[in-house]
Amino acid sequence: MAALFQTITCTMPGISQPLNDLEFADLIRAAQAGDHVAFDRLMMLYQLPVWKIACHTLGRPEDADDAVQEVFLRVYKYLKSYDLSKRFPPWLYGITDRVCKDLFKKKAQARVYDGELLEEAVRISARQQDDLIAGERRRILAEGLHRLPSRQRQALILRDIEGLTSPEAAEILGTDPATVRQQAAKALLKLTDFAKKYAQRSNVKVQR
Amino acid sequence: MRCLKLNKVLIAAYAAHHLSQPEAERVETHLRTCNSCRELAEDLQRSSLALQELQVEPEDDRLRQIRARVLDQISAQEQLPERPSIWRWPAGRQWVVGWQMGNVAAIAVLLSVGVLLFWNSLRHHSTGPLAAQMQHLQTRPQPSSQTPPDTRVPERSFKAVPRPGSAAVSPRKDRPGAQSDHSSSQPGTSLPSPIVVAEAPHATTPMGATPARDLPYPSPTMPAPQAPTMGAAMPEVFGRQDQAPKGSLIDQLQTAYPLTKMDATGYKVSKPGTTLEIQLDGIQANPMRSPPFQNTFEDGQVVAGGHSTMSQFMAGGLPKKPFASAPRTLAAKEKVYLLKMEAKDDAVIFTVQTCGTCDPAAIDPTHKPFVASILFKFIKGFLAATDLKHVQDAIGALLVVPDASAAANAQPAADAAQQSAPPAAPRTQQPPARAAAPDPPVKSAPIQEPLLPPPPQPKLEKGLTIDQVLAQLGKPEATATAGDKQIYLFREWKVTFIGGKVTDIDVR
Repeated sequence: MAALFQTITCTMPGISQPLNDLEFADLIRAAQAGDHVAFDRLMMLYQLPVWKIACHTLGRPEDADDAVQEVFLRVYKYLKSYDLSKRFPPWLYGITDRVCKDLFKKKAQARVYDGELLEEAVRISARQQDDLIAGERRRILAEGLHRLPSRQRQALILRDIEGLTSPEAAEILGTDPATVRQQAAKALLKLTDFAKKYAQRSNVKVQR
Repeated sequence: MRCLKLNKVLIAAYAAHHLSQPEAERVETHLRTCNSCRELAEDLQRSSLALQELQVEPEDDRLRQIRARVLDQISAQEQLPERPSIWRWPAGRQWVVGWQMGNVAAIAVLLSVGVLLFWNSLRHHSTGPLAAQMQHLQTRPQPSSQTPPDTRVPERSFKAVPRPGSAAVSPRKDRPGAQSDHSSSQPGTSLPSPIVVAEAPHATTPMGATPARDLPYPSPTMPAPQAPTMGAAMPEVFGRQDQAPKGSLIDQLQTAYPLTKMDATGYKVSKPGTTLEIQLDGIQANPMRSPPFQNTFEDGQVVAGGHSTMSQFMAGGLPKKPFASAPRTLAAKEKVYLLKMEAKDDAVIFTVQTCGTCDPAAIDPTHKPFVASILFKFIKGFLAATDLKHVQDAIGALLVVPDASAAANAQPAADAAQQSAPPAAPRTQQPPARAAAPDPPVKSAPIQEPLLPPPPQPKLEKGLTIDQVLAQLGKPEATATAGDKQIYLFREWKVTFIGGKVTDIDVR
């Protein structure tokens, strides 16, 4: 049983969506009633997107781990107030978003000292890629991700970064493909704009 | 330069290769002729490519570990079966509805009394429809019929015992399970109002640490038969209390009631501990291997259900599958092993298993074990402020150690207690616990007291004349007249007269 679920989560959930709406509603109800097995299954369904969104938002995998744990603890705590007539993913990612915001604030202090670490990482990847500019761009883009509006960020992360198609991302996010496409495109636009301004401002330093 | 011919979002979608063929061609056509848009598109394409390289994967097994941690934490939280906030909420709502004629002050008074108490009293008095409730409140029912009000009222006065202050709180910090209550209000912070308990007039020592304030209303609900003994028995109890060691309540309880450990089969005792004898009928139990049937003990009665079952119910649904096998009701005099205990802010929970002859050396082959958990309800904060003795007394009303184990601590109260001791209770100290006012009031009595909400007392009734009211309440602080309507404001009451008769009574 567990193995089966594990395989589901190896790919992005939603692609191999194993549950229809009715089954999903049953799963939620069971979890609401305190069924830990059902809740575990729910976590398996959504852990990967939650982790990825958290990871790109916070910028570090360790932070994403913390975030996932906190997200699901909160989900369990508030699951009883979740309205079954609403779509689950937006509710879940709303929580994810708040958790990320909280964590981001909490870690902001530590982040200051991470500057060197980050540059180190960039240097390594730059050497590997042999493309300093691309590396720098990646770094700036990653930096800018958490500034995007949450829906746009989620769409961009799932679709443009993680490579899902719009319908797949829409399935996971609980919206429709057209919306995802629109949101991701807007996000890309904003992010590019951000990277441009960022580069312009810091170029002086880089060339010094 | 800004190009207005093409939506930039469309270009972004194009750059990320998410446009359909005709759309993409349209964009390309434009890009061939527009430099600014082409630059933007190239920029976006670079971003899009760079983003693809940001893809991350969690470490192997990382997510599984996180899930396990989450489930662990959830289970740990649920070990404490009762969640007070959920528990009490519905009571508050009932109250508000029932008192919609009242003013906000009524609600405030209620809160100070402790919503929980009201809930208990509702059950105690077999909750009827709201209308019945209203009637009940407004007509100020006489206390239980067998109780002559005269004897009670003079005999007892009401004191407000503030929630334990910082000094009293300290012991609870050691108690396991206390941390689970962090969400509920800390005593003395958000709920500064006192809890109302009944006390014998002379019993000042027990709660001496906490300042007392007289409340204007007597409590009509104290069971009458118990009243006579309290005066005699309680001083003893209280005198002894001073010597009782303070410390982690759960530790003390476990010393007083060592747990019995069963082996994996559930039949055989691996480590002998406390055997308890049930004093009252009514405990529901599930067959072994099912979750223990949850019972609540309050007002001297065993009520099936109560803790987590109730909170789940309140939260929107009972567990879907009821236990397959039927529960049975344990009879008085049955013996049980004490398997587990938990202490919370406002409750002690015992998990017990029936054991037939209860001889640890020889298993009774014919006995089929049943398990039950019993929640002993106290007022919030009481457990932190009291000591073992009082808790034992409360528990002793339902579960006693059959052998004369109580001898040591029961002696002082024995004489007084025996008069009222129920025959079923071998332990002498426990009758006083139930009967005596000063001590039990704190644990069991308060639960039933608040039931008759303090405000509407038997004395004040609709239809009384102004003189009758004045005779009871004395001089009003203020009066107001509008036509034939008169409003008298007393210290605690607002009484409305129309045509010289009381038509409305409100708590101020």
